[in-house]
Amino acid sequence: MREHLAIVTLGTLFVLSVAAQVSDAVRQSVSRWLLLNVVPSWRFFGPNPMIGDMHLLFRRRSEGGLLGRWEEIWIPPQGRLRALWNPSRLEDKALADMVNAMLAVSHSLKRRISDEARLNQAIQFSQPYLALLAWVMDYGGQPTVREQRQFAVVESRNDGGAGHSLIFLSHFHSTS
Amino acid sequence: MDVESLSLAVRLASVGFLIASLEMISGREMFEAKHPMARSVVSLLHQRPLSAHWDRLLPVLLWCQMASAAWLVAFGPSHAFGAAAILVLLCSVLGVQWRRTLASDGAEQMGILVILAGFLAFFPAKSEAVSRIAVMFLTAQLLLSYFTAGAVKLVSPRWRREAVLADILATHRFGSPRLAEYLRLRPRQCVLAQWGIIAFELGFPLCLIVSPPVFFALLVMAIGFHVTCAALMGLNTFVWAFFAVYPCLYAVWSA
Repeated sequence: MREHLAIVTLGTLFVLSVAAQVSDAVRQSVSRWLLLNVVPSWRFFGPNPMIGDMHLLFRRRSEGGLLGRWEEIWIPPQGRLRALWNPSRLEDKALADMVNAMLAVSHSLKRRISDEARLNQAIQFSQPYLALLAWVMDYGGQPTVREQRQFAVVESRNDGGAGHSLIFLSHFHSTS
Repeated sequence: MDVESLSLAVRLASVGFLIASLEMISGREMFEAKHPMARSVVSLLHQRPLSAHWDRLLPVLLWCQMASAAWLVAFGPSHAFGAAAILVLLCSVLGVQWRRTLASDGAEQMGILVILAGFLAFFPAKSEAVSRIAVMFLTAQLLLSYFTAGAVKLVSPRWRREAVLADILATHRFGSPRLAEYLRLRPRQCVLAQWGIIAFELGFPLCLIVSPPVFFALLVMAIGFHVTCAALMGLNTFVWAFFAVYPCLYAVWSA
């Protein structure tokens, strides 16, 4: 009986794992359904690795329309002992996960929606966009007077080339 | 042989989970307001509000993960309470992952597979037959992981032709600025190193049919590969998650 249970459980997991390496949809469906990452992705750094660092920035706009300066949401740097001890990797990875998910949603919506106004609206209702917005609203704290906030995702490269590039710019959202 | 191999696999994977739990306990503010895995942020990813009970439950789960992983590292799954420790570790790791939602990686996924396979083989009591199935499953996952990683790089023109490794190492997240600079100045060597990685990853599954000297040479290369990745790129938990499966690979190869 236990052998059968093991064969069915591990066999199913292996079949799903093989399918997930070929199609992202399989892994995403299982992850969405369970909200757990039990079906692995073994595509380490392939086929198109991230070759820049992601930064999340935001700025404020007062009711009078005055724009504040861009502020970066701080993520602790990785320490010298990171080969053994690297807690900062989790916040780094969380930001990368949210940005990648938002870009994936954005690309997928662009294929289906041609009207720009509708497309922008659809992106704003996507889970990763809302999650990034919630982080920005949370990070900026409660304002004393009503204001709006906008966030930007910027990629920086240390390759001696372009330096920084804007990946995504949100709309302004009211704090109330 | 299979029971011992799986037992060692569980112990090694538990080292990774022990480190991960201590990292999350020491950096617990990552789950608090103003941080990426705050309840308000994760609730939006779940599309439903996470209960405030999670604020009390999460530390409990992290301490359970730490304690059960430490127990398994010290005594292994065959020892008294080993089966219970695997159950606690599996539940706490999945609970923490569910609450965190973000920042899961290949090391965590491989670790979960090891603990799940260990759970099936050791709970409620150890089973030789299930251990055999679990060892084969983990070996198949290991070979699939290397082969997939090599195949996706092989089909990528950037990995085949451009000095992409230098670009990855130039990031702060996976950075090693000196090596990145060294490779950027020597693009041919960099592309050659990338072809070396692709060949190693694609060829690794052949280790099941090679002679003992070649098998151990491949194993030493794999160990060196993960240690180098940890040292240069900060992928510290990958070392333990992937080392964990090598005893299973050895068991299948030597059978």
